Amino acid sequence: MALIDLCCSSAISARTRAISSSARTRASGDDRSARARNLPGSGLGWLAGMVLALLMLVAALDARAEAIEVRGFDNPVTEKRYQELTATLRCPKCENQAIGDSNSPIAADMRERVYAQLQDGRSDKEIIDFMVQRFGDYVLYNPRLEGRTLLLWGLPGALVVIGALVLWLIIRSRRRTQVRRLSAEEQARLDDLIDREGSA
Amino acid sequence: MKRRLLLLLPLVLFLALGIFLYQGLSINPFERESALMAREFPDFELSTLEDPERRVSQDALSGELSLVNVWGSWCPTCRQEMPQLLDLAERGVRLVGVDYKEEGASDGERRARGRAFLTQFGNPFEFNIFDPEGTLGFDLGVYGAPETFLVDAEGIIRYHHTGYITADDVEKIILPEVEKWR
Repeated sequence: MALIDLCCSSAISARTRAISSSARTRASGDDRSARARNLPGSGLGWLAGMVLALLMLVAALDARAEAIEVRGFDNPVTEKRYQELTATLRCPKCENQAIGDSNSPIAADMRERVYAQLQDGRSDKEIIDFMVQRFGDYVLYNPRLEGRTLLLWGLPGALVVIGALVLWLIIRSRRRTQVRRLSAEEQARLDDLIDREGSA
Repeated sequence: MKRRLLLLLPLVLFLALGIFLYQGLSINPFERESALMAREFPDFELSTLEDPERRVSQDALSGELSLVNVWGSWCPTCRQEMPQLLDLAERGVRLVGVDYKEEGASDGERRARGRAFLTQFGNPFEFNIFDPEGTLGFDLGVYGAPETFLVDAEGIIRYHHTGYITADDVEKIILPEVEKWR
């Protein structure tokens, strides 16, 4: 099994790159501000702070551009739908990433289709069906409720019910031993003992 | 006594669930069945790699059972697969290629590279569908080349293979499937 070609260069690695690059920026910035502090006058320290902030901002913007395309939306509702769809559709190439989180080419293609179809005015359901038709149920992070997924949806509930049932059985059996009435013979013996105690 | 046994029920359920989930750990997530299984090969209209003027559609696939292989000149495992595909072609299986898109290249470059690939590694294909935008690949649900689809004479997808076909796969999977659907 060799499927190495459209490999996910995952967003995680993009993030790692982003973190390491901003860490580098910060390190060099600290260097600068340390040097600045040695110089007479505090104005340069302030300047170094500004430069540091600017560098960090540039690094952050750079990292964002690497992981996510810039998309324009007519209204915030569509944008929200885009974000939700790309967060709930799973990248078919990467085992556990939403298409919105993955840098793999197929995830980029899928985001492109989601965007284009949203612009065409398609509904969420139509877009999801479109993806499932091609890539199967695998792409759904929210599996649909149907015959095959009954176990998946029903099992947690069933386990809670079974647990409650067992608990009830245990409590009932305990309670029964506790409230068991004494037989006539036992009662007589008990009375007898109490009487003897009283007369002694 | 019966009630006592009933108390073992959670343990039994837990063990059953444990075994079920443990088996899930060994499933290869890339060996899942294609969503297109037993469905018609998707509509397309593209040119061939060989001749930019020649347009082909899904009609070009019907009439005879074919093995449709999605490949790319940029894909190293596709190279490893070529000897097996040449072997299959020699044994009388009809092969059709899909030259799957390459990021950041012009159509001219892609065509040139695709042809160079076939010159270098051999050409087992009757013709190659040129899919520069990856539209056919997307409709086929291709998420990593190479992928191979067995399409019967009616144009229905009967088998899907992800990853490259080894010599072992040819004997044990591909040829039996070809015989089954011919």
